[in-house]
Amino acid sequence: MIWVYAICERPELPPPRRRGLAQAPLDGVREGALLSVVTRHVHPPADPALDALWVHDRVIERLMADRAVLPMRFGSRLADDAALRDLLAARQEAFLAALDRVRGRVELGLRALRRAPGPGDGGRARPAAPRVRTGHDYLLSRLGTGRQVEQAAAHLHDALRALSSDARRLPARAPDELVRAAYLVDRDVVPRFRATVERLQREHPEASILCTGPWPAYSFVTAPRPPRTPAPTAGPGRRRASRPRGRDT
Amino acid sequence: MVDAAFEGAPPGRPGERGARPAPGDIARRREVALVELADRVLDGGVVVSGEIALSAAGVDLVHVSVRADIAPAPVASRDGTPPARDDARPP
Repeated sequence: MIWVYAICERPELPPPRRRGLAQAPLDGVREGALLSVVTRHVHPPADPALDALWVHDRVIERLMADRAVLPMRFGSRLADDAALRDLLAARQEAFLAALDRVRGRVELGLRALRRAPGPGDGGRARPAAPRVRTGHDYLLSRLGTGRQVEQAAAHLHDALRALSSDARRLPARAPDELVRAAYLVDRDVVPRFRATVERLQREHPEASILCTGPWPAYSFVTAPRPPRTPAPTAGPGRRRASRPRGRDT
Repeated sequence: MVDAAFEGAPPGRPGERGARPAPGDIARRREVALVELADRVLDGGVVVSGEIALSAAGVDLVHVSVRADIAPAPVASRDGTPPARDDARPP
């Protein structure tokens, strides 16, 4: 079987002489204008999960040094080269369009969490030992008023989206998350993005803002979702101007 | 080219409000950095219609194990190297 790390442009450029999962050397499978970078295995790699995540990511990071790259989801594997070539040929246009969108750009991740009170806070932000009886109580004790939370989240997200060529707000994973989002940013805008994050942190002391990256464009390998369109039964006059969720290229 | 995780208010940064966050806050930030990796490589990226090694349930399991692993071990930073922070000194 072959483990697939990424789909790249510049098929004439061989993969770097590096090793991937299970120390297998990187290899390239070429199809048309695309190159896919893979390792070959008799059995599925059995690395411990967390290490394997890093290995997969690092291979993609290395490829980003000299070409535009579409990262594959961890765990993408195919039976053989023929299956991979079929995939590349069948979706070539979509892959090339996606490579155009991510070229010269990186993904930055943002999470803003409600700040846990420190010892010096005197328990202002939250009682030291909140009486939490149910999940509902927990949510109420942590969320404050929903509207304020959403306003803060929108302020953060809008400020960063303005610096991005595309942005996607992702569903929160935990009740104390104000924002989880990904931004596709030109490489040379990254310092300005960081500075903006620091400014936002000063403006939002109630939040703990963590920005990670630059990452490969994991969250931007598909075209931006079209805005919700009216139901097919809606009359022609009801069609609204599309509001892009983040500009495309 | 790989940067370390950067934060809006790095621990110990002078002049910030709450310049030294509580240890719980730092631990939570580290947890977030690692979960960010898992979120990306497990939920993002190009999906082949063929085989996917991890089922949806598997993704949940990895998330659980990530969170469970956080407390005892220094968490890898963005590029996988342990952070050189005073609270993350290896034993």
